Amino acid sequence: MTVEVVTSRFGTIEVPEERIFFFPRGLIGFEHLKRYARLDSTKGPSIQWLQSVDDPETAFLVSEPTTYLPSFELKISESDASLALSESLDLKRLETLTILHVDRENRSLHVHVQAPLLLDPTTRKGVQVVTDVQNATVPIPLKSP
Amino acid sequence: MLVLTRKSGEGLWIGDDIRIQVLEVRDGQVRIGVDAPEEKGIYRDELYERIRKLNIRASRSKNEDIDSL
Repeated sequence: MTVEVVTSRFGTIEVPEERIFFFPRGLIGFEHLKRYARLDSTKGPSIQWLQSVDDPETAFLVSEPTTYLPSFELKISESDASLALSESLDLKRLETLTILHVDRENRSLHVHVQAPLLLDPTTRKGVQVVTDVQNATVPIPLKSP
Repeated sequence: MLVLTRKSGEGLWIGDDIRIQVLEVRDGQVRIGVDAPEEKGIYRDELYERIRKLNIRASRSKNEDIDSL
């Protein structure tokens, strides 16, 4: 089964159902958008697009946090986990993704470490959690073109 | 804004699916318990606003942004 997804960046695409994730709460500021397709970017599966199924314009660049921050550790306190996770999410099998923002003007990549996405590949559910870190993003200088 | 006074251990309902309880009041701090449906996110307000702004900015990423990575 595939799902037709209309996008402003990639045209209309067919996405296998198993690549569609449901975020019961949406993302913060995007509470109305609950379904996202995971698409490999032109750089391969290590950098992906999280494309909203319901809004063609909304898509996030994401990667595993360790792609850019090898020492990244997810720190969710018990109270944060109980705020953010429902019983239907099992912490042990969750995949962590961080949102990326490329600031081309300043040649830097911002890794959004404070609010990572936790995805459960079994139930294909996801949630954005807010963690207790000092800085919301970590900037990484980009190589000159 | 609706303002209510509650003691430790007391709570209130918002509609029929959100319950807020005051667990403890001590040294100018209040511990609050919230029961809400799965689809309701619950965040500290200062963090919500910060993350919302960052998410909005990131949601506008362009195809060309990938080339710099």
